[in-house]
Amino acid sequence: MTREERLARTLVELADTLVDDFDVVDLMSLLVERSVELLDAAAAGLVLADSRGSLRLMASTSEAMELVELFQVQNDQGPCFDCYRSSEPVIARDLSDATDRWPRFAPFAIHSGFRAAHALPMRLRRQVIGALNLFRTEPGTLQEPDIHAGQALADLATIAILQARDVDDTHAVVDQLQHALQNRIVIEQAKGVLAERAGIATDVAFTRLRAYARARQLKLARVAEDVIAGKLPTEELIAR
Amino acid sequence: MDASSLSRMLAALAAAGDDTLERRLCSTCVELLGVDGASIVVSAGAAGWGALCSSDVLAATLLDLQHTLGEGPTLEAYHATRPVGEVALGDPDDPRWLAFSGQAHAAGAAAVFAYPLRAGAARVGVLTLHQRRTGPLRRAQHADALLWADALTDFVLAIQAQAPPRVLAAPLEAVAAYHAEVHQAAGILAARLEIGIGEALVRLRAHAYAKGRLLADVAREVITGTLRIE
Repeated sequence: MTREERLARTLVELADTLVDDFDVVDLMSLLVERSVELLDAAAAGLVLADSRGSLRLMASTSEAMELVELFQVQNDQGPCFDCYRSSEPVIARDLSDATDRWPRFAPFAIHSGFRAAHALPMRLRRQVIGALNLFRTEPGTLQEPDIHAGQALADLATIAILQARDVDDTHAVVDQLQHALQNRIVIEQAKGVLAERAGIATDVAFTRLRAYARARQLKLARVAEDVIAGKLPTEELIAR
Repeated sequence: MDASSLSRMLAALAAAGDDTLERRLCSTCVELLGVDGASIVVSAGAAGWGALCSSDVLAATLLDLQHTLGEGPTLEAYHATRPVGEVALGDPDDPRWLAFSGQAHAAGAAAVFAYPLRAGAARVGVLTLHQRRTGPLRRAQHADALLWADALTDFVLAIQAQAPPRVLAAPLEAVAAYHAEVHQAAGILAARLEIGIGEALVRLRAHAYAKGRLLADVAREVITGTLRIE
């Protein structure tokens, strides 16, 4: 298989994840491994921004790489950091020339055996979620076709990750909606149960339930469930 | 009608003030789709569902009938997760729903079309449309209904997403309040007969069906004490 064929296969692999269920962690591992296979890179790492905007290492091809990335994110310095902040690719042809730019990161990366670094933004339209970091052991930039290929891989992975987050967010809201409605139903049922047991009207029963819950700092729905289950004595509930 | 015009319309509805949001949602359904009536229900999962709005008495009645009988286009669309349509409710030889079809027709509905509100695999609710003449929706109406169902789904979820965690969003209050008396009556019956809530609900429904009455009406009488069910 030629390199072009392997690249095409990788793009299809990534695109397939958009239609099937997939594991985001697996996807990110796939991305860094394929990047190293297809592009002229020795190691790759993927960082994503968390909810506070701090970059966290999500996948890498080697432990040496991990050290580099960890160092980078800890010190808020380096190609990934610059790439994420600018949403643009960051290319360092020779890290020995980058010691002014990244006074802590560059020497450490060189010491780890890396001489060149490329950071490609993981972005969709105006949203940047992280960066794909590619390292070489020799100075020099990736060829243009490789940079384009790398960006295409990063872009596809970004879509997949955002889509997975969307699905998670949607399910979370649906769950919330259903739980909120179920809680109200349970409360109505408990009003009836208490009204019957205590011989009072349902609106009075509601007042009793709410007062009981407030006095003990319990959630009303929880008190309602306990009433229905018969776990709370009626006298206690209607006592003032 | 395309997705972006729908989004703009929904944004305008939302901006208008949410104390009449439900009414405006349903009347917009009717105008937009060119049908005689519409209703929106939101699901509480296995615990049931509630109406967010109905455009008119007939739309509300169609929901009440399904609430009582446990069958009908809204329920079927919800469970099947795909649109359900009946173009001639009054056909005596082959009623789509044994109990619902005849009663819905008697109430004035000739055709009904129900569109599930789905977010991926999740079931959010159902949009139900009715016509007073038999016949299918036009292709453009059906296409618009599908788009509108998607837009409504996003809208309901967006409203809920703005509420604090575990709290029902205020504009969706009508759903929680829908026939609350049925749940109260189930509680009363459960405590009185020392049975489970589920079984109490079954008995309420059985009584309503046997007497040809709406579930909510039976429930109200249980609460006021004018009806005792054993």
